[in-house]
Amino acid sequence: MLSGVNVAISNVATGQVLEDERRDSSGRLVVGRLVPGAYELIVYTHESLTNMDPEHGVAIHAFDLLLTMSVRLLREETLGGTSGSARAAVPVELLDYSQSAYGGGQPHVKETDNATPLVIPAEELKCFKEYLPLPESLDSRAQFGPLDLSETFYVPTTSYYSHEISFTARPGQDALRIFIAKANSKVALLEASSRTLLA
Amino acid sequence: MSARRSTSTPELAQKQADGLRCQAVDLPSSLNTHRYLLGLNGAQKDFHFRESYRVDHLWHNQAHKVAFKLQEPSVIRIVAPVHRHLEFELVLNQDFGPYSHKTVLTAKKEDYHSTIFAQLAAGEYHLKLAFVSDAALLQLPCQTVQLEMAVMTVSNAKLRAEAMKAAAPQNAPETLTLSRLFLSSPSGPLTLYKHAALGWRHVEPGLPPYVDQRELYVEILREGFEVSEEDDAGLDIEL
Repeated sequence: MLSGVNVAISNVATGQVLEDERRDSSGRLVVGRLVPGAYELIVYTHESLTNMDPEHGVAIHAFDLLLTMSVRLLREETLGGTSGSARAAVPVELLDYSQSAYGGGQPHVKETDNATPLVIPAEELKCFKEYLPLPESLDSRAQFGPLDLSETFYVPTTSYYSHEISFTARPGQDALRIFIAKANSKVALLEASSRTLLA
Repeated sequence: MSARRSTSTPELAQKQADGLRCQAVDLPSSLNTHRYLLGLNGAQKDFHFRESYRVDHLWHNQAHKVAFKLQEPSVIRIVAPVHRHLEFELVLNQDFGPYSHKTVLTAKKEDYHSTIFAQLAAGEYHLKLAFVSDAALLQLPCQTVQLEMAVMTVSNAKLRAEAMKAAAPQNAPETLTLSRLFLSSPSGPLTLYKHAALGWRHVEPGLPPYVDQRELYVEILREGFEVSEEDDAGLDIEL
């Protein structure tokens, strides 16, 4: 809440830098297809300039960093295309640059594994880039106290669609307000185990 | 050429008007509302929003003020990503009555961002956005500036720091590697926790020492990777 972390990828050959789209407490960078070549991924933040004077007994001395991060390989699935090729695993080679292995020549392949790509239909990619998908759970957002969320989410459908968002009410979280703007949607609040309709 | 009568129906006209209407909210004149600082029973609540605010209705060269009242000692953070066309300064002032104020902090350009971070005592304050760009740019239809604003009471900030420590998995590493992120992210995000990872610099408005922007940059992760033609892949990175 009181600091921001950014992510960027830089194309080594062209110097082009793609930066993330920051939201309240998160950042997101989606690239449909990366041009073959070398890149650098950079996650960074900044120290703050502040009026807080260490000689006057300030409450905060340094910030801890708690960062949750995912980097998923993504493939675009075109309509009528062969879904098998889009869903095929992406081989990830871990290279060894250590002096003994590198020695000035080409780095050695230390390990090879397969990463499962996230497959996105081409029609959804624009929405996926600009908006967040509806979350599966609110628990991680509410773990530090009150939840105050205002965001535009996208729903990947043109027909009937139902989505459930789970959350665990913590002590002190005894009221809930949900407001949906400009949507032909309905919201229902259910108790998770009994599926009792609460509102 | 002949003039033709418009055939648009009231519904179509409304639809067209909705398309032309600016979706961005006006820059607030006060944060003392339920959207921001006002919690239940009038108590102060924390907030954190990043939003594009409409500024095309503001007068050129007339600084816009956002007033707020803190009931408790609080920490405040305001980030204004540098605008492509508009230039403006952020100034945080403490009010001492209607005609008297003291500047607490002026935003510094920090790696394409203007940021204010301050610890404030209870009292009345106002944030000033002083536009220095040409009026024609400010008054372009639906011209907006993006602001990330967060206020948290000092007591909650301390509690949250403790909660962060408790929430971090016991075995959370201090660094992450890209190969681990590529391979493990499909089954869920990875967590990094680093104690006292970030510091801060004390400055007084208008007084030395002046801090070079580049000194504030802190790198958490930098790793190279190479994409081949056969990969035919993109990336989805979430923080």
